[in-house]
Amino acid sequence: MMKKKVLLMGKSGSGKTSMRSIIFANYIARDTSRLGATIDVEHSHVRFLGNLVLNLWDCGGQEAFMENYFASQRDNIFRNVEVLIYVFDVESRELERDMHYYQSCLEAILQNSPEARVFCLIHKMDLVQDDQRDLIFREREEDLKRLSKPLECVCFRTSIWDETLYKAWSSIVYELIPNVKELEQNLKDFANIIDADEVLLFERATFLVISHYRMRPHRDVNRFEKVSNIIKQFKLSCSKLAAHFQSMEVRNSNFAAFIDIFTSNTYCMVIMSDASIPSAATLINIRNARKHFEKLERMNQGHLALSR
Amino acid sequence: MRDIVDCHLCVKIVMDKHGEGPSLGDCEMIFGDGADSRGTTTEDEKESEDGKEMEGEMRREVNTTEDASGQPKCNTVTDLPYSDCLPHAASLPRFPDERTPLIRPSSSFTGIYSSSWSTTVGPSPYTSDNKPKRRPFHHAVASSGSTSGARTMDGSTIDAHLFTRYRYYSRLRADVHPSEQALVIPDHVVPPELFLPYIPGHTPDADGKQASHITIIAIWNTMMGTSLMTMPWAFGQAGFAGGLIIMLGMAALSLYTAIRLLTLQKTIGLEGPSLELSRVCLQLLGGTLGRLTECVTVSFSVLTLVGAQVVYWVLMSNFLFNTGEVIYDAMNGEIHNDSSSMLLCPPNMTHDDLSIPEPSMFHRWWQQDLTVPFYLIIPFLFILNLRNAKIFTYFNSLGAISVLVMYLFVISKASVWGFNISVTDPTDIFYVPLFKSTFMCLTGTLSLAYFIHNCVVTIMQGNRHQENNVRDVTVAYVLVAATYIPIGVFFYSTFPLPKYCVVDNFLDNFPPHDVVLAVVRGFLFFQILTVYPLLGFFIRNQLFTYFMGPTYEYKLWRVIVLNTCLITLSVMVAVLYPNIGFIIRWIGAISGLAYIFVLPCVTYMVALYSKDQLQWYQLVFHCGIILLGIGNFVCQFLIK
Repeated sequence: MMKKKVLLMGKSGSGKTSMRSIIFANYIARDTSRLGATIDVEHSHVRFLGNLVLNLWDCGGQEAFMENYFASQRDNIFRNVEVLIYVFDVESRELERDMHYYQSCLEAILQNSPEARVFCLIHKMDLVQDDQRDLIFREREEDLKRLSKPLECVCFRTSIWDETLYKAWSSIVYELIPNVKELEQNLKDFANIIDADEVLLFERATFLVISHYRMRPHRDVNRFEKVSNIIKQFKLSCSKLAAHFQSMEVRNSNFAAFIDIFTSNTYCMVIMSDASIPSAATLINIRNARKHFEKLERMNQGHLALSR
Repeated sequence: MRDIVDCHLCVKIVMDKHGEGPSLGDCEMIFGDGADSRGTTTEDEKESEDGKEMEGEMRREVNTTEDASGQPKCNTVTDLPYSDCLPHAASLPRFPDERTPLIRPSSSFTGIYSSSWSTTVGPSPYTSDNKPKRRPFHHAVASSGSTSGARTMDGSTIDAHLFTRYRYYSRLRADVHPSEQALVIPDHVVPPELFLPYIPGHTPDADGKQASHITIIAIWNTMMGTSLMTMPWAFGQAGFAGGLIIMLGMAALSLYTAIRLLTLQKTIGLEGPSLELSRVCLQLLGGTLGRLTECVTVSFSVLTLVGAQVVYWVLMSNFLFNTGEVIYDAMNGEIHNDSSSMLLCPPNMTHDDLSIPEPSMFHRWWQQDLTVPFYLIIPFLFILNLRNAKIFTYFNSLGAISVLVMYLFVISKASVWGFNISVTDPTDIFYVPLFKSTFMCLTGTLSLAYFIHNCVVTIMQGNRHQENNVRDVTVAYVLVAATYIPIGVFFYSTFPLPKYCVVDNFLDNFPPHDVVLAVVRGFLFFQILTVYPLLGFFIRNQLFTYFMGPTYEYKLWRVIVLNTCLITLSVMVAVLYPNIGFIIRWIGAISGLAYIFVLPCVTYMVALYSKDQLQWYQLVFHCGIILLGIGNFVCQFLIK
């Protein structure tokens, strides 16, 4: 099965590297010298959803050169693309040029991977005043939807300093998980059976919450991002010891939380508020559920493979 | 099937359990796979991944989940840290039938698995004596003010999220050079409580901390205020020897209490990030007494700021007036030949002496006391609407330059004039008694001059090496004293006119057209112009936070009403009673009473008392300081 690509493109300085560092818990990678004698524009390969590889691209700097490169290498770049995430800087003064680049990418996508999904992120929204954000975002969204035809693009507004970045990427990942609705239904059943307060599904590489089920409402709506950030910090610490994070149990008098590998693409987090339930029971439950969900995933991948 | 070789370590984190004591054997580690714990490494073990998917059932049996790196790993627990795992197969019960139903919880379970896996392999290494020094992140939730349950996104939770994000991004920056700006928290995102003073000419390192000498300069810059211009007059009010003793004594006392406040949190034994003073008091005194203290600290703080604003308005009118005079004279070509040596004696001046027989149109409309304060409102209508506060911080550095210029100016003038002082001969026109009964003017002024206690904790938070805090504050105070004392002493001692001529703003002793001072006044005008809105911001923030909790909504009309009140107050004082010496010493005495004398001593004594470490001599000493503060305050009434 061929690896599919996720292209993260955008003008130079639009925030792609920062975004990627944050979502994937990489240490900040200096952009390798983009255009030189060797034309190596790929910065990183990061595994994503099990079978996707994220490529980070930069459409900036020596534009004439980039255009040339686009022309000669475009098949290579744009083949087998599953997702195109294009980042726009909301403060950019060169809207024409941004659109020009964006449309070149779309043309290439149409030719080489017409089934790719396109997501547009309007980034750095914290630099816009509060009362104008919705207005500006809606304007840009309309323009982009119009310009993207016949492809359909989904737009998000993001900023690394509030929860919008997390939500946007969560939504993107949500749309890319196969049979996510079925997963959610099964998650609900699972939670009810084991009497858990809340069950979360995280994507494995990024710890973005894909879906969740909760028995009762919770006051803190941003808890997903917090948990994600905390675990990613922990993974960063672990990586210093050249070790990998697998599972975690957190327990106090009020609750017990279990974070464990679930399927090939996901982690799960189970919150139990009944402290009398021994950990072993929950862990066994998780382990047995895992088989079931894996089967679900494999079945659907099989279906998809057949349908293509 | 692959053999299990070279397992990774396993970590299981257990919190909140009792234990015997730390030992590595008790804490096992389960590190499983990690798809992307190191994102930049290429995950090119696709082959293993594919292989894994095909293995299917067989792999299930053995209960290993293949990780993306293709290395098999164990998911069992052993009690040998940092060693290879034992073959896992034996330690877990196997479930060959994958249709095993999920276990439903029932009460009968308490017998079978009466303890979790964690206790079978060892308790937590942490005991109550041996708690890890670093507390888990605890963000103080808004307590009394807001009903935190009602709103889902109140200010404290916003800040808590921001803090989590900030810490995470800081971890990502760990390997990056401090000067690189990626993922550095920008100013407009920082919550207002973390507002740090701007250090002229210094771009902060991206880790947000600064070296010691920068901190010292920050404190010096913050403390160096308008009291500088009052120094000569205030010194004269206390007599020569009295003045020197009081100046040194107040400096030492303020330094001591500032250090007490700075180390209060450590004295209490409160770990974790530095809290604001009011929060610490709340924790320390608890309950109603704590809330009362919070009310007291807020009101004194606001009072100080309002007083400072009023003084600033008076000074601004003064500087603007003088600057206007200079420009007018320059435009009208009036030349003053004796500008460099002329001195004014304002208390003796009458309008007949100084002004030309028929006050020109200009002078009718440009009077320091009557009209200029009103003209000053115009630029503020513009300034208070500016959103970008960054520009103000640049003007702030003009203040430091002005201080240096004034210092050199005074030294040069003093060397020209020579000592014109006599402490022994009462008939000499330059007689200065050794001690004067009006010494409380000096103490009041100095209370404001050495006042930094309400923000010393905030400023020192930015210090890179926290263990040097006390040393840095001491050095800063020494520098400040070394700036105030010479200006006060030398200017007063060498002033060639009778000593009662020295005004409470010594710049007024020089005519408006003195070139050097005209420039200095210009700089100071711009500096104060930019600090005024900043003070307004602090006042607004403190008042609204106190009354409406940290989650107060920004409503424009409230801000406008507050600003109008403040400006009205400032203008009225500037027009009716522009006597900054009076205002400064009163504000100094009141706020000094609270922040310099009472609060540090009381909190220190309570902290020691709660730990049963209060000795009698400490009690006496600190009560003495409190009495001094009260005396300082009361004495202000005694001056006619």
